[in-house]
Amino acid sequence: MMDKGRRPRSFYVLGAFFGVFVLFLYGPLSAIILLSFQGPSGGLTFQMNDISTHWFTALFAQQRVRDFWGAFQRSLALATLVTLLTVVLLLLAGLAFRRRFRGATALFYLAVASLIVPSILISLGIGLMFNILGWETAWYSSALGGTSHLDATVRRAHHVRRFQPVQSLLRGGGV
Amino acid sequence: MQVAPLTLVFVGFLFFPLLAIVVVSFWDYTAYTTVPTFVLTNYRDVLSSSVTYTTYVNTFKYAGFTWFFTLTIGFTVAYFLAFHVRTFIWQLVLFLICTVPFLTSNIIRMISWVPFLGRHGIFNSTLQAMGLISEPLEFLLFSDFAVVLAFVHLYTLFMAIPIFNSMMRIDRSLLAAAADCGASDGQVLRDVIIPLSKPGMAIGSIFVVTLVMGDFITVRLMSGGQSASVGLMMMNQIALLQYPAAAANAVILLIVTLLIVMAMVRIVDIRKEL
Repeated sequence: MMDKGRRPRSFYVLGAFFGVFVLFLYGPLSAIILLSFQGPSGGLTFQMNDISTHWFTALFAQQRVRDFWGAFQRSLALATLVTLLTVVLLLLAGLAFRRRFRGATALFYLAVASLIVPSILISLGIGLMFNILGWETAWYSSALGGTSHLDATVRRAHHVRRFQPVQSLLRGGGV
Repeated sequence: MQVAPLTLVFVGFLFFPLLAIVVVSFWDYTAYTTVPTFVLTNYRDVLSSSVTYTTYVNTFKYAGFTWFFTLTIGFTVAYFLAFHVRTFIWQLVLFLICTVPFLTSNIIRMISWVPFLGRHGIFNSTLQAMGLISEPLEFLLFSDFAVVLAFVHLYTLFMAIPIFNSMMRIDRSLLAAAADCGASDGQVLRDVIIPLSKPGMAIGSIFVVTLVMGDFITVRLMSGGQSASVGLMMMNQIALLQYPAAAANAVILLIVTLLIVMAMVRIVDIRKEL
């Protein structure tokens, strides 16, 4: 770190605060990683009875009630689809928002609204809409609409407007 | 033309679902079926039930505490990163460190508190080993404390990022000017930095409050089913297939949330941040 002049004492106080914050973020997570190597008789509390990969083997084993790979593939497919769609849609929208067009303000407020509306309402609404229309709900239709567009997408819509489309594409992954 | 797809998505997955909620909230229902008519009983049931009010009070309590802690912590973290970390590279590195845990799912981050807070969890055993307490503290897990803790853990970054954005836009010469005029660090913070980062605080607050207001899974997991939130109440109705009741609840929640957001926007003009 470049050092121009002596740092005030507040730097160290705040730095310590930041350190505690990072611990707060990582502490529980690291505990759960450690506990995943728990022996067969252990549970979700800290008495490491044994160190083993018992739970990992159990996870990957095919079972009647829990199908790890099936769920994993669905998640992966959903994530891929959502990413592709958001990139394409938002790139287009970003291009359009470079100049004014009819309905720009309305669309913009719609985007802001989608950020504000609690996501449980969107899920409920999409479920109801599919119900009314008599469509089948499935992970590739209703869930796709729900998860993707209203949560992640729009947060990116924000960036698109703020930082011009190309840059926002480069920013890519991070919401 | 270029916005047509996005508009379609918004109309199809935002506007129509909300419309569907409003329509269904006027329908009637029996134990097994939903009847498309126009009745106000759902609203009457919701508004006349004392459960609704206690649940809303509970949810506001969660939102208030979470808002206070995320704002305090988020502001401090953003302040440190924006004004005390001097190079861009370090700012980026430290920010990434904060972001990595956010790449895992909410639920995993919630569950990971269990080994910490449980009766025989790390926290209790440490305190007992130090001789500070003789009995394990019961209030740590499955309590309102646990719910707020989880919310703060989940959402502080949503507060820190907009505030950091606002702070990075503050012209550094303003700070120098204030210092030259004899302002102490505290005065600079109070009279320059805090007023100028208000839009960021408002945006962060909107995120956090709306997320907490609509939440059900955190409350369910961390309170062990002992307290309720509005979202949880709706989920229970959905589970009982009482869609119209849930829809009426949803409409009220939407109105309440929008009122809160409007109040925030009234206080702080966020438009220049968008």
